[in-house]
Amino acid sequence: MEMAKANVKKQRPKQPLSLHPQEKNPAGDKNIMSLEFLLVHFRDDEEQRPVLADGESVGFTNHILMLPTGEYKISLSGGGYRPASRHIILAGTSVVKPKVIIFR
Amino acid sequence: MPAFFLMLLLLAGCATSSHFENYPSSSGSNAERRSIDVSHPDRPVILIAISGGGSRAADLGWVILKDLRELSYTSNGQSRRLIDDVAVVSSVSGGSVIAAYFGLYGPDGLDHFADDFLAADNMRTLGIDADSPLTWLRVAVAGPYDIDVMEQLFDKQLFHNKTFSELNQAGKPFVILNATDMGGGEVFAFTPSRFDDVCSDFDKEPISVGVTASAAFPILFSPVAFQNYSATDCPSRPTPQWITTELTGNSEPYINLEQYKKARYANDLRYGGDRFRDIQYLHFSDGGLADNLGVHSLMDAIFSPSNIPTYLLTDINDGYIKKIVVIIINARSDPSSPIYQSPSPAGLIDTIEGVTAIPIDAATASANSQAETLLAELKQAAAAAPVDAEFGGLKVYDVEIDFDQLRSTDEQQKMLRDNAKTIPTSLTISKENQRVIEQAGQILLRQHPCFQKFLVDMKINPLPGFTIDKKYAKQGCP
Repeated sequence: MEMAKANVKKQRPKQPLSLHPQEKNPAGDKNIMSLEFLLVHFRDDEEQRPVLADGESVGFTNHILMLPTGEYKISLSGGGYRPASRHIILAGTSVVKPKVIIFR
Repeated sequence: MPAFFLMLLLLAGCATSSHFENYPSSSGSNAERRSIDVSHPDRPVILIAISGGGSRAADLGWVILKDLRELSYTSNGQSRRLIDDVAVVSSVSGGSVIAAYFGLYGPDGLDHFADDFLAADNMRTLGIDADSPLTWLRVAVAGPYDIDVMEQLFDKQLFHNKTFSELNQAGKPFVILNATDMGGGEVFAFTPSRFDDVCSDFDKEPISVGVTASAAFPILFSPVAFQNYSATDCPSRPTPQWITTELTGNSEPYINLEQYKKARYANDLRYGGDRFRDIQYLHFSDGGLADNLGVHSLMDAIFSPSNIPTYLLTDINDGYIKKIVVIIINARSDPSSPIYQSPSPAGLIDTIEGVTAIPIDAATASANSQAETLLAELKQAAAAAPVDAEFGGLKVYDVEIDFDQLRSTDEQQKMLRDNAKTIPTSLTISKENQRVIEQAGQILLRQHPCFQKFLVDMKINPLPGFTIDKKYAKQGCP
């Protein structure tokens, strides 16, 4: 059942310095889980689709999504798109430079 | 010579076979009935981790929960208690006693916890004097105490034969009790999905077994034993996609080794193809051996939908959640070591204490550091988010509670700190020490700058006797 989203007017704070990948984890320890950013487009964003990472819903297309560093099989809910899934390596991204993938 | 044979007989008694405390699942899939209600964006989502530390930890967790019950705000024109927004409680050892109690009896049931558990001389009920050398001699000769005595204590005093089906209900918070798998040192969280991995029935499992597995003090008590029914009762199951992706991805071991190992462990438990180990039986001891704060499961609850399906990350990505409060309650003791006053090298007992306690503290500090880093990244991402990120504007309040935060410049707080850190790790706590924990806990939560900042943002009045310093809150909670 889809939850009704509150109609909240978005107010963005003044943008701080961008999160450059090297700044995120100064210790450089790759074994500490880190956050990555993914942006999935579906066709020309005429329609929003739920994005699935390894079969689990993680958000919607056309919105920047956060995921832990790792490899994922990305697909969309519903059918009628190509390719059926994309295997991605999500690492070294930032909120202002997410990994972008496209389904058609 | 007769003494030698007597010793052999006694030692032979150590090789006892285990009875298994889990039940095979008929379907191989346990229902998860809990979920987090995010339909009201003005409400915060509160996540709590409660550390080990015997009754000291149980008491501190209880004090914090009671304070959350006393604080309320207005939502949709109605008064709402903060404790009703507690969505996840992850716990270890003594912390698991209060976590399970809260999960079962709810906020209003907290009033009975002191009588049911804290006031009782539980070590006497168990028949154990942990301070007596004779106890350890008995363990050395005859083996550990049977873990059943601890299960019976928890059942009789607290849980009364209730099972996890009572915790796993709609409207209830996710309560995650964590034990340590003695075979490989992994965290074993008592969750429906983990029970799927070992083909066991989660709803049938007694709560007292989960709490005992989380609190089974090593060496003193025998571990809690499970049989892995995957090979016999759930053969040829399909492998979850996340496990396949993790184990077949060439980059995963390099970019997220921890997640790769979690996937490998889950695959082994499920008797999946190309498994690393054959795990037929599991022996659980105190969760504090692997993670004495319970933060691994707390982070999984936020960031790993495959491990613990709270779907918090999805809700964050969709912009449904605007405030997250993470309260990490660390009740660790820190008594002064006698070797600081001795010119001689540490003796055998002090060395044994050191080689057990120091790695646990180090592992806990590392886990805590990971949690701090992740939460800081989450804060930064929310602050820097462009307009096409729905998580923009999310506020994260990282409230770590530790006795060392009691101020050494304040005589009363310094005394509380010194007293709290020397309260022994035991299932019995004196009335005087309960008072110490009560006072310390209230100060620690109410004095925390991030908690004060949260109260300001929520327009919540502080509890009587405490004032909010907005400048201090802003400076101390970047």
